[in-house]
Amino acid sequence: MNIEKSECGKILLIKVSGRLDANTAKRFEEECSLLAEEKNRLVMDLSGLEYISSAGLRSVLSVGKKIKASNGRYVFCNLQPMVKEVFKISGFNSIFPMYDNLEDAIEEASS
Amino acid sequence: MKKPAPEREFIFTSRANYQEASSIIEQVKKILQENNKDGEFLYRIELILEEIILNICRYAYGAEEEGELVVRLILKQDHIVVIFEDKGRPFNPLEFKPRIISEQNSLEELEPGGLGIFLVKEMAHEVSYQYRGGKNILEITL
Repeated sequence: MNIEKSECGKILLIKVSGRLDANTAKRFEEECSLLAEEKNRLVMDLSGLEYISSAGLRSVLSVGKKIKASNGRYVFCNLQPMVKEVFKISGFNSIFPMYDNLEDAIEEASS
Repeated sequence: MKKPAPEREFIFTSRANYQEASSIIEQVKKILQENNKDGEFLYRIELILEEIILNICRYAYGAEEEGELVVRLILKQDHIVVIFEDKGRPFNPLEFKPRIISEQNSLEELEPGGLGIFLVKEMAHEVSYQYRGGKNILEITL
């Protein structure tokens, strides 16, 4: 799993690629929790994320709780079909905003 | 007329230790790739393998025990069966009621217990469990 961060005004754009599984979930949680302390408006571009399991989902949720606690924004975009399916099955699409393109995600995170 | 491909079975055995057992996932994926399974199928089977192997490694045996786990992969003509066996404490994942995440939950309170097992049920066609001969036997068809 790789995390690439760039700044876009008051938003942090985080591009996650590779796999978010039992081996990488902890690192994702640690890295993103630190980033969320820097800026609490995160746009997660998942176009490069090939795989996520329940361990990955739990780490996504854990970061989400921290962002919520600081009244931030946590918006997802560009999910690959199976990753999107797993988010949907798990109900994550009802708790986190999801978009099919980066522009809409950035707009939501800016609001 | 083309003869149907014979049923084939692969048996993987590992200590119930995720670092070691997770190599089974790669081996199964390789076999299925060679059998022309598509990306969606590979994702589903990989998720099932990760969730169940992880559960067995974490919960089947006590901290002091060095348990074993067996994964049987059976390639049938039109479907695939994966059977997981361990000799740990009896646990029927089908009786486990996961808490489903929805808008009604508040994010702060949310602890997605049993999310892995819930995903497995969603990804599989059929899941059955039995405890026989001192073994948990979980059979998954997809």
